[in-house]
Amino acid sequence: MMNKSIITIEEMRQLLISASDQIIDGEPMLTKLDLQIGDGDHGIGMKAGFSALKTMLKETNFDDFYSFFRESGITLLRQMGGASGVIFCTMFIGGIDILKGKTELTASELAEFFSAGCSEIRRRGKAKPGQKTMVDALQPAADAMTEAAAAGDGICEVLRAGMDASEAGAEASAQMMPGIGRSRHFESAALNIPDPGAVSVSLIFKGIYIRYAELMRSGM
Amino acid sequence: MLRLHPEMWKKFRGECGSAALMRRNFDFSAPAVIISGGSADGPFLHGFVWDGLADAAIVGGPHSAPNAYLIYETAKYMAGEHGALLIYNNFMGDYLNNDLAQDLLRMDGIRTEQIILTDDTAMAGKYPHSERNGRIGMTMITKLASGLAQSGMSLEECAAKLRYANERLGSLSMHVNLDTKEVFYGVGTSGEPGIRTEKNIDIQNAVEIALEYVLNELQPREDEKLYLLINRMENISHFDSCRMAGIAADYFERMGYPFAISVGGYLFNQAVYGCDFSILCADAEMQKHMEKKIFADSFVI
Repeated sequence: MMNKSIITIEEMRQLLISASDQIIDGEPMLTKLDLQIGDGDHGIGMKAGFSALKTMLKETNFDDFYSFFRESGITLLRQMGGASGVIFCTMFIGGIDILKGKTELTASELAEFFSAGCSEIRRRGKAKPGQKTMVDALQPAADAMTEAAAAGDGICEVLRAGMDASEAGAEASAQMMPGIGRSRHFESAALNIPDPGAVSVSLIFKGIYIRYAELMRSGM
Repeated sequence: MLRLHPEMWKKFRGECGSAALMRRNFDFSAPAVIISGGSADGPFLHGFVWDGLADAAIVGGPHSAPNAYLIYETAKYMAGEHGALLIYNNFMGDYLNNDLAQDLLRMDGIRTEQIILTDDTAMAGKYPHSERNGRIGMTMITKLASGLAQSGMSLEECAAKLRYANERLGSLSMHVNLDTKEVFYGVGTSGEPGIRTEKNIDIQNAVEIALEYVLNELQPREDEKLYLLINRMENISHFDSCRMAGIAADYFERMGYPFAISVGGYLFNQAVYGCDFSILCADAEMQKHMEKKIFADSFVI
């Protein structure tokens, strides 16, 4: 029976595989977005990265969450390259220092992990909320997860909060003027189009939550 | 390249399939000097893996930074007990990949220092020094880094000196349209507009304007010697670039600056008639490592 206040490595493995499937299936949509306000390769790069991640997750055993997320981030980096490879690797390794030796995470630790990853992305990528980047989905997700965990919510509610906030953030990015990166050059032509990186983040959290909810229903 | 100088070069192959070029004689006895960036024509970056210059070069695609993981693997192999210097020009892709590589190395307990070069003087009007892009000055910094590392300095001492050297470094491009007799200063490597245009001036004036621009920004000090590197672009002859060196030498002498000049095709990044001028204002410590000429495969610096 799943413990609602902690999450195990095996459970997280399944959640990230589900997230990978969301990215892989979402490639046409991501590509279409990126053709409008980028150079068109975001979807293809993300699909390559998360396909490799899915394979790695199915084939690898992990001693702790540190190695789990480190290998996940490095797999994305090796496969994706470019700025996206760096940023999405950072999403997974930015917060891993707190995970050494841990084989279970509480809701608070999960929120802290994603918050630390977001902070590191903001530092490394020099991005702030409101600049039409993946931060516009990740920061709201991290904040919502932190708030939910602080309120005493369990893993399911924290992940749901992350999904809802990232989805809202990705949607909101459509009305932002690009402030950084390649889409800057599109200026007002980028309005009414959500940022592909932000949409990718929302797909990741959607995949994570959907699978967790399935596991809860099945009572595993 | 490996077949040309097997005594000098060997390949370090990373797990993700791409490779770095390493100096065969690197013996782990000093901080490793690792340079990286996007590829272009000309010996820089690979050709700068040489005794007295870089210990390894990691090169990405055209105008594209190399993957952080290859930088990580290369530095992890070379750092040993003395650590590694990660030297690169300040462009977003290079910064992202080197910064992440440093993080991965830190997680493995490996010491590195990032040396981020910001010598593009054309950006001086709009950006503080620390936020400018890097240009051809990386060639001289690579030579300086090797000298500092081999002198017995620690990784941290080398890094401090190199960061100071970056502050005393300025570079400016000069393109000449021989048909319209216009001279364009500060045009970017991807065609970004320049900062000044002159028309119908002779070559002496053209060169002196470029040098003045850089020196006004650097404000050389009494104890400093100027090291000028002239990088010729694709459509200018070696003879013409040497003429420019002669003009620069006369100018420095008139102004009373001690100086040394290197001329060559270090980086052919633009199919125009012109040059990059890069000046390092070197203090006594830097001069010790800049004086000796390095005779590499296809250039002298």
